[in-house]
Amino acid sequence: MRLEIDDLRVSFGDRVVAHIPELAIESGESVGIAGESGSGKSMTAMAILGLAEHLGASTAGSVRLDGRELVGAPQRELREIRGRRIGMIFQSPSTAFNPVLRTGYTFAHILALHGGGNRRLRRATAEAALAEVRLTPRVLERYPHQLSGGELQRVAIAIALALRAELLLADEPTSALDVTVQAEIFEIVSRIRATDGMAILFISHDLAAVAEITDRIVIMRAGEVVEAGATRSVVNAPSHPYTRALFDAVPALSGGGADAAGR
Amino acid sequence: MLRVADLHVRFGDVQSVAGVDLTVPDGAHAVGLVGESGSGKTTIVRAILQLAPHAEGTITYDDFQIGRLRGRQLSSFRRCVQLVPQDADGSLSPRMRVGTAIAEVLRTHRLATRRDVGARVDALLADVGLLPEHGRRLPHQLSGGQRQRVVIARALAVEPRLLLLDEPTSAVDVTVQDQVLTLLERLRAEREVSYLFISHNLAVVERLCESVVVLYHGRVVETGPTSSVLANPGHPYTVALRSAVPQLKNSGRRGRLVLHGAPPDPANPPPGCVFHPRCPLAIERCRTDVPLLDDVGGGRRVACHRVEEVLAGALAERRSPLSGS
Repeated sequence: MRLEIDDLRVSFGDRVVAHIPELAIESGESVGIAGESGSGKSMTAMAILGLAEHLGASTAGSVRLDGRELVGAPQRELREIRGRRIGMIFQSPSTAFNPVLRTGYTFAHILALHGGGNRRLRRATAEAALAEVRLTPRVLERYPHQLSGGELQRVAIAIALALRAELLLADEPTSALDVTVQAEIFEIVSRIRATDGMAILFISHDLAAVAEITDRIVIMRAGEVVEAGATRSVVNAPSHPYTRALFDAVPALSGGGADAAGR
Repeated sequence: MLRVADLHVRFGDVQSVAGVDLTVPDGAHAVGLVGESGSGKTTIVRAILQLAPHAEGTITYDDFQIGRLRGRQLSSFRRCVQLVPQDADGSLSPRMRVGTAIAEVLRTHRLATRRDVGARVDALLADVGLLPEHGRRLPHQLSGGQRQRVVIARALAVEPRLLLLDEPTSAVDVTVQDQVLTLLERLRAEREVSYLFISHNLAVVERLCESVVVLYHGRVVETGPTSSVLANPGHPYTVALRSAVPQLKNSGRRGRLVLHGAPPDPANPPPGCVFHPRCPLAIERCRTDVPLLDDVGGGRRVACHRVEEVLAGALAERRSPLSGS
């Protein structure tokens, strides 16, 4: 899998709200987009999915998935890519699930839409995917309000896994969750990436969170990319003042946060 | 001074808070209350505000006996202790200009006359870094950070001595969080107001609070001065909470203690130590005996049968390296 972005511009009327000169993601890679509210990071995600038009924006430039142009592609074609090849998880898993349907129904319905075999096979696929995110099949009998935010987010990840998505597009997936739950989600996502080679595009305002699970990072402000590069070098030596400001906003923890051996 | 002693709150079969002790001294002292969703943090705040009808135990603030306050006494208590809620958006009327919302508080407590109320509102807005024109706006015309400032200004209107801050920054960007924390640091110094600051992020608590209370499933598992608790936590849960905070300086070379499994079912808590099903150090004793909150020196107290080993670093080598980094 290779996703290539070339001079992508998302605009409302004359106003460009997101401009990505170039960005490429391949299988097994993890790339982050960091920036504040209004920086254009979520609109970039919407444009990749071909959903920016639904929000009233127009998209110009190029987004190619294995050479296939997605900008301007017919919705019929995009529907086969969304969910199936590009999995999605969002900030609020509780609004991503229909509140009056058991999660098992939603899960099976999505598998059926993408041609996931017969009923028994779909159930087996769902159970195997849930095991990968450390959930029991019991969650399929529950309604969304009966599950915690972390559990629902893991069900959403399991749906992407069950469809064998090649790229996981994660827009603030842990911003509404406790840090302990975030740590568990990060562990799961990193493991899936290592074992299945799923690529990750992780979007967040929290630079420390983005830095934690990505190899490359793009810093956006007011629709423009201000800095991009290997996560480690951007974090160790931010060159743009805005990156440094984002950096300084992360509260430091003495005794180390995720420090492992360092005590 | 706020004193909470042996607080229990039960909702039907669910024991939300089970025997919590907590003190917040006067005079610009900040106490952090940390724990996951469902640990009882917000319920404790509601009990302090006399909003949890099923609370048992004693809560006192100076001479006020919370739970029995009525009428004028309740009103004067509310002038001492104010809440800054998590959801600034939900606590402002969408149809009331935010300046009017602040003026309403001043009028209710008879702290301003018709003539000077406008100037008082402007001064409060200025205190939190907003302009008079912001007061003429409706909540949706302000950013999330500005709304959070308005809610802080409204709480300050009665000149309280204690603010209960319920995750005031969990819904905003890190840059806005940084600004709100800077504001809270300044207000504390200028107004000598104390804080009970609720958060699930230990790094935020470290920045603002001298002491910390770690809550798990409605029970205090560790408490003490923030710096020493964070430098060397005594409870495995505190170790996990600390290691869960993403830190820039260490990205790329670290491991962490990740908790698996969910917090216990509140209607059916496990016997013994409530943390034992998720604890990497749990032994037989932890499954049967409830650990007491014992003094471990340095003003610190920990509720763990294996506290000596935890303090000696027993969990350091158990952390798993993050795959893919």
